[in-house]
Amino acid sequence: MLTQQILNGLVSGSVYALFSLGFTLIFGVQKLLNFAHGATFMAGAFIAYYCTISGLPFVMAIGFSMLATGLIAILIDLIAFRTLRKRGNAEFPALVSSIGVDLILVSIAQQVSNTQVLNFPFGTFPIQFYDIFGLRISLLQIVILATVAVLVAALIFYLKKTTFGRQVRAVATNERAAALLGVNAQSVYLQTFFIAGALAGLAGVLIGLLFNSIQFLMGEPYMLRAFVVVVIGGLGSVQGAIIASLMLGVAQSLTVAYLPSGLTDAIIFGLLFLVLLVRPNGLFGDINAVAGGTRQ
Amino acid sequence: MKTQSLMLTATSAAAMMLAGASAHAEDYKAVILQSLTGGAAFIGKNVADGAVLAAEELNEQGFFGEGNKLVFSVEDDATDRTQTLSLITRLAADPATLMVMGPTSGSVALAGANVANEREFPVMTTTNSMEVLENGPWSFIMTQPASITMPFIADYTAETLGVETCAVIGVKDNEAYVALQRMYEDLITEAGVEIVSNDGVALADSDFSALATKVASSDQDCVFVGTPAAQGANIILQLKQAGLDPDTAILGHNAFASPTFIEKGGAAVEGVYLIGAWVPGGDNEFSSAFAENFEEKMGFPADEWNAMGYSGMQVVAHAIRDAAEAGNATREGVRDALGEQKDVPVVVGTHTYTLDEERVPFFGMKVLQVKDGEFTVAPE
Repeated sequence: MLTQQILNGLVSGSVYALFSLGFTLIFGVQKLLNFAHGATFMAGAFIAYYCTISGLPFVMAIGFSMLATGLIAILIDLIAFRTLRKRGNAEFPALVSSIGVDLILVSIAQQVSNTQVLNFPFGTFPIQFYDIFGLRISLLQIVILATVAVLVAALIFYLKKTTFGRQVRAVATNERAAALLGVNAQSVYLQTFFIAGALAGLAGVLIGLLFNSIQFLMGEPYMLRAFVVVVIGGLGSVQGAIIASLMLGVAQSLTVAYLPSGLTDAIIFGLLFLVLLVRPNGLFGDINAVAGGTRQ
Repeated sequence: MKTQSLMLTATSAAAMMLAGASAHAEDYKAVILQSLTGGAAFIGKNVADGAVLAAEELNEQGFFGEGNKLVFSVEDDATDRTQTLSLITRLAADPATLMVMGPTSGSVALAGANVANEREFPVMTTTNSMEVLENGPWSFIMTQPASITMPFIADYTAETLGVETCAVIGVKDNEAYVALQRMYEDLITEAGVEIVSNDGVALADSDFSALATKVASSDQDCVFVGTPAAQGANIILQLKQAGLDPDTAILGHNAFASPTFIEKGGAAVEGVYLIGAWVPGGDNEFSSAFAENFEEKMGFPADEWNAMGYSGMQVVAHAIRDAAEAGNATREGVRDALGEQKDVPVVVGTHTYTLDEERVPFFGMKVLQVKDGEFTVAPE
């Protein structure tokens, strides 16, 4: 059972990683906690669901959902953050503003779904299981692990090896200096929000498919865990978020398996406090670390 | 001329009679206060939908007497105690409002009961918590407490199925579900069934992979899943995917008596045992008519909570009418009438709806089983 639970944890953790990357990216670049990220995640699942039942092929539904949630995230930036950012000292007002956006999106989803739990139609994805060395793994779990691995690698490449990535790191490090060097900070913000939104949307679709459940409150538990992930991983650290997500997924599986499941959250947050006591800036250190840069 | 004069007189008399009738027409004001948003929205919204349909139908039927009607509005307790306290305080300040059907459940219902008793304002909460009744004479519960419902499924587990060991999965963040689960555990333990594992999930959870692997890897004769319908179907699906022994009996409580359960669970929920106050689609003329009308209005089939809301409104309406007929359509009159309701026809349970001397409702339960994608009465 132990190896099976570790596998379960890695699958869950990989989706946490997808969710948390966008969250940590926005925090890293803007130093803003985007509470509407959970609602964007939920919106991704809803959009893909309605596209699928409308007859759109599932792969296209995923693509459309990622595009739509990317645009929703841009809209969130324009409506909830941009004006506040211009005024300066935006952290707290932006936090409240993002909570407002979250509530609006959740309310819309509740009205649209009539408070019902939705699920992708049976057969949306082939239900196939493999027994490998005593481990039971589904085709969907394999696809999810592979998809997340490819996306995370692409994101890291994008941030580290491309001009855009350098611009992101420049803005994250010092927006004014980056602007003086000709970097369009507003464009960087919009692109960051788009990537974060698209990743959250995809995570929503994968979770909705993997666990057969799409509902208007589905973003809340993930939002809570994303906080744990970014704090344990190190605020703004991409590699920290990935490793912390996988650790969180495995820890969660093992606590459910070997301890009373009611204690799961208490243990996870206990772990958070422990990490903060030992490494106050998270496992991957530097409080100013932002997608590979250091904020000035 | 004489004919014209007679006609004029007759017309005037008719107009005066109509005017007189409308002058005596009574509006009875009640508020449906349920969790339309927040964690308990999966219960409250459905209860409100059922209650609204009942109120509309009763008004159309002239249930309150010619020209009289129930004037109702729907408010949202948001599964939030502060909002509930504020709303009940506001509603109690309106002397025309006779009573509230709600709030929905848990600590919100208890908080609502508290302020209602302080302000001598009748509330019929959706919960089955006895604490609401203990709070004072102005607060009522609409659903049967666990002490009435759970023996049906516990007896079936221990006696009819004859299981010896059982794994229990319940909801950890809703008092009503916790109460049902605890009652089930106590009853089967008393009957000699050993509980081999006991796990809790949150209402918003959907990842049960670790839990499913744990239970599927363990050895037990039955698994009891005490969650809402959609979540329960999802847990059972993940249990089956994790390789749960197909001979393991799976049981649940009345929340599973919803079309959603079969729709979400598909083949995975075949054979599951449950108790139901509501048989989807209805099992007599009254309940079948409700099922048909509800689906026509809402576009989806009624579930247990829709049926419960519809039934609760029948009880509320009978109480208001009884109070009015006794010439005491006041809050006190409605409270007294509510406590004395007996044999109200409802669409749930096996009996009519009756409150006992302690104001505890009874309308019975059935043990059902999912067979060929439908709810059927379980074999004895």
